[in-house]
Amino acid sequence: MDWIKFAYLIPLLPLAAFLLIVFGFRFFKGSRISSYVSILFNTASFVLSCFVFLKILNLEHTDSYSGPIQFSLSWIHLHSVSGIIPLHLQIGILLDPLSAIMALMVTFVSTLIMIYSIGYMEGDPGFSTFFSYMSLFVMAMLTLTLSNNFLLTFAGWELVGLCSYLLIGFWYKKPSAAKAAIKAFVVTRTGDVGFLIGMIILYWKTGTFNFIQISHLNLPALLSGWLLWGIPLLIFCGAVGKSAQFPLHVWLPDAMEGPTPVSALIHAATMVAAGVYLVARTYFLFVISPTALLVVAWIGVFTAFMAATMALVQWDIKRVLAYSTISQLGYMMLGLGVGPIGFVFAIFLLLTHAFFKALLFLGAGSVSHPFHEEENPFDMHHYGGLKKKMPHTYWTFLFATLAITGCPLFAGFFSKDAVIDSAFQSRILTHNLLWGLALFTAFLTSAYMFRMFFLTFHGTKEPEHQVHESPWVMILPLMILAVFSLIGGWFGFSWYRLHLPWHDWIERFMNPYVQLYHIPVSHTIDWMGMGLGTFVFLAGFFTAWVLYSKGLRFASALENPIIKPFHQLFVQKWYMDEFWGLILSLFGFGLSSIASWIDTNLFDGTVRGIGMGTGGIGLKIRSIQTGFVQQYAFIIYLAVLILIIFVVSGGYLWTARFF
Amino acid sequence: MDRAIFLNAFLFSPLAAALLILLFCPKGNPVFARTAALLSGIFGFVLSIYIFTHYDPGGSQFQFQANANWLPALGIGYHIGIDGISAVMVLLTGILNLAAILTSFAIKDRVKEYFIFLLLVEAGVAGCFVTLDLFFFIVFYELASIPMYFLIGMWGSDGQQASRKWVTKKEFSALKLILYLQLGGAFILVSFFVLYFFSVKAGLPHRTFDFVELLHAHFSRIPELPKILFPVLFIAFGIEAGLVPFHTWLPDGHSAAPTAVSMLLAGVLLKMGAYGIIRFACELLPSGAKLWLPLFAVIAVINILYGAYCALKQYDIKYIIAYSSVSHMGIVFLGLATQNIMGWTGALFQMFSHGIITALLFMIAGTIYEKTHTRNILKLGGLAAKMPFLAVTFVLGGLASLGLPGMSGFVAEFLTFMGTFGFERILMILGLLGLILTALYILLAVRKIFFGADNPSLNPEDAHAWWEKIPAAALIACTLLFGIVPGVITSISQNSLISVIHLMKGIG
Repeated sequence: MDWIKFAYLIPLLPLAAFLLIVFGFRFFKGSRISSYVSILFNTASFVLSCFVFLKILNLEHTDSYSGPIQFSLSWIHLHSVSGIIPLHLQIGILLDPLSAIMALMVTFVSTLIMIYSIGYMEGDPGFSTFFSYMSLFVMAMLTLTLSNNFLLTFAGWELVGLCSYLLIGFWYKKPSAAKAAIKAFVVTRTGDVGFLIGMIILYWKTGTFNFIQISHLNLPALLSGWLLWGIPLLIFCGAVGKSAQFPLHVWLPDAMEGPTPVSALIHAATMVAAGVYLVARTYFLFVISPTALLVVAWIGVFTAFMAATMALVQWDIKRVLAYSTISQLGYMMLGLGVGPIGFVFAIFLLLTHAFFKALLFLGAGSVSHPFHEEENPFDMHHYGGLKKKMPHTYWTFLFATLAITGCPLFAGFFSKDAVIDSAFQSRILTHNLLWGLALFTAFLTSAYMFRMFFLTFHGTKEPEHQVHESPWVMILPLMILAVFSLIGGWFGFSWYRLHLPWHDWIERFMNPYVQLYHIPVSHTIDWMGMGLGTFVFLAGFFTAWVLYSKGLRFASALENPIIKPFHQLFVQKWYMDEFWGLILSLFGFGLSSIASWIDTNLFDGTVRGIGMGTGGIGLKIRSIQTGFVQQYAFIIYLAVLILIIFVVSGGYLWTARFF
Repeated sequence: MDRAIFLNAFLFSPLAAALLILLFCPKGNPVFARTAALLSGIFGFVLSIYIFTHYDPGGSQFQFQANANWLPALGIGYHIGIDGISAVMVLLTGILNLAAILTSFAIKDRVKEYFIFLLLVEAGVAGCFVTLDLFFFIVFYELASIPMYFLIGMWGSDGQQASRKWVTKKEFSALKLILYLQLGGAFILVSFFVLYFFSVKAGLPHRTFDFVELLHAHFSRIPELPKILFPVLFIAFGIEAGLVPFHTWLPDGHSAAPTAVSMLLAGVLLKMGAYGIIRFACELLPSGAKLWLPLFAVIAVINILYGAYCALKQYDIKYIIAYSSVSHMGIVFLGLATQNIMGWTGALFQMFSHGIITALLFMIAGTIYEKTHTRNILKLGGLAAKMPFLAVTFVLGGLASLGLPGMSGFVAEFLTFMGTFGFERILMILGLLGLILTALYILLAVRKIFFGADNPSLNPEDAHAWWEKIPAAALIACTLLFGIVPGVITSISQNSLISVIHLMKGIG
């Protein structure tokens, strides 16, 4: 039975939920029905993703595996005219290990987060709207994930951006939320323009948008000169925007203005990882250009480092997590950038990161719940000593922290350290530097995560508020995610020999890519890598423990003349907001003022002047000859127009040389 | 010949309604005028769908043709018919005429005269898109533009452009608009006369205004004619379509006009200019087009960026939308300048899509003005809670306008920029930068009008009767429909566009 054809329902089911809620809004208002609709359809989508995943897993184990499955519909067809390539645009889905595992992760995490949201959004006047947006988002994300061509991916890409905009600005009455929403949309769109340019050039060179078709072409022969590295880097621009990489990372911390489940789903687990997914999806463009790979690796590692430094000094728990997300996304980019050797690890980190980062955000939401009357419920100044009051939140949060910092046996230990290690083993230029910076950043990660952890849960501070544990509907998703933060890594690589029966799932599952990109799979145990990873984890942990576990003991160190400028730099976010603010006021509002001035004074002023002059002359002439002022104005306009045409056509001879 | 009855009916139903109102509507009785207008609008809408769906893209070049001698001695005939390009425009006109009539129900003052003028404009616009006779084009052009003067002057409102110190009076805007449109009209008239007088020299047996006959003329035999006449025609039509620097009538005119008239102005009148460029300038003077279009491509990109920059500075909602029209019409010009099928399809799609979207935005701006008595975004704010329906529709319209996939604006922009790459890649990159600016000014406007804290000085109620929601909902449905299934339009227009492109490339 060819039921796999029904895979197109995976994105359509959440869309159906969205439409149901929107058109049944009147009836759902003020009840929980809309959340049940969302969760029901999402679960169906998840079940379907499971089937697809298992089907592909089984297919790969048989000899009948004949490459990715895809089916398409024609969307726009324009014939070839006078030597120009025809335009044949399709919409279709592609089922291969990468998309299947991504769809599985997206539906799984989104279902859990929706369940959590029932508790978190309880009593909010926009309850139904919230769930409709969430369903729309899942639809868009799955479209992006399962698409088999650049165009549909771009469509999903923009739609997730839209949902992000809507959900960041969900509490639109808060001016800061409304501003953050615009910032997110415009900054990511800046990157998207690069993506679009790259896409269009690629079409003109290859004649198709289909991923599989392009990957089968002899790309080095088709893309000559700068296009070889230019096209992947233009597409990477889109990924830089969406995955909040330097220098377009500035929108993500502000995006925390949205409700916390949104931060967990969109701004941690799924949408921001779409950039990484895009690079992986179009990896055939990157592997042929060492330049492009090197840029990806350096952007990645620098972002990871820079974001980690900023996370060190934040007091808003969600912002710490936001910078930590940026940092982890940087690791994923690094994994892809160091070449095929890091490809699978980057995807592995993407998947495991989704679990523990979603958990961290949901945990932060749970922590902040009793503080919701504060001006900023996420300010860690309010926290401290919450361990006893919120045991479930505490333990799940601890699991996630251990996972992200790379504690042995937890998910991050297998995925993140593998990425760092692949940087060491790769043959890419400057790989030692990349590795060193990545390793140092791992230390920072451990330090800032435990700083946050200690400040929140430990210490002797007695909370001012009546702190209580969150309801079960919120705790249950936390626990499920906590389990995956622990065992998520065990699906990893036989390379570690610490294996369970499913120890090589990821590797086997990703086998087509291993073959496609000639990924060398090492089967030796890298004791050094593991040892160093454990060492930096412990170093970070102890640093944080000494500084923060008993409250702030060394705050005066910040006045140290050596530390102070750095502290200032980190607190001011490396002045990147100021930088973009300057760009915006110069090339946005500055030019806009000039344009507006030209419009009023030059273009309109000229016409107006002529009109006034004509009016004056007309008044004098009227005594001699009666006539309408308009007619005179008319004649003079004609004269001016002819003059302009004359000038323009003279100018034409000059401009013609450029075409 | 028998199918022509549909096109004739489409053209004459607004005229008939106008005549009915003029003759039989008692003074001070708005119901009669509204009913008559509404019936003609619904009738025209149904007909436009019929015509669009029954146009056969594989059939003859012009369909639904009617041809009657009118002044054979001068070569003038009543000749109407549509090809794939005008079929799309007929559909647009049908949709927007009805939407404009529905929106006009809010007019309370001198209803009878208002509807007469409005229906005359609608008839003129419809005529411009279906006529195949140059002389009648001029007649319809005047019919579409002259009543605008009265509509704006009598039922309009004053506005203020951002960098101007003074308030722009509606009478001033109306005068400015009519002068500009007449200026363009005069140039079109002169150019058409030139074509008429040279038609024998270009190989026709007799002088004629008939478009189909003129298509067989070879104006390139007169070496200087296309070279000189093409830019004149392009600019003449360009004035109407908001070509920089001849666009300054547009923001003032659109902003001063009553809501329904703004919708028609931006929705179809601008498209008449672009349509004229395709139909008369490019199709009759292909060799001139080939020579001149590269220059106009540069102006087109200036249009896109300049319009967007000006829009960013405005604080009157209607001025923002009007300048966004300047920017979006730049995409039409750019698409036309590419001279390839992708760009041309994009341009035509943009004409359709922008018509729908901008009409929607003007409609909402009008409602906001009606309910809050201000259009200044600095005085507005926090309206989303009080006017949720308007907020949703405006956000959707804005998203369509900034080219969100799934809505028609994206298809148009994407196809245009695809085509532009095949023509000149630098222009594509510059044009694409406009997308960032568009997102910026639209989202800023959304934020300032609808988001933020409640503004206690505003006390609007979002009381919409269900029928008041229909026009906005229908226009949104249109942008979604054609954004998701763009093949409906591209398949209709493809063959006709290809034949024009072949003319320009000198094939067949």
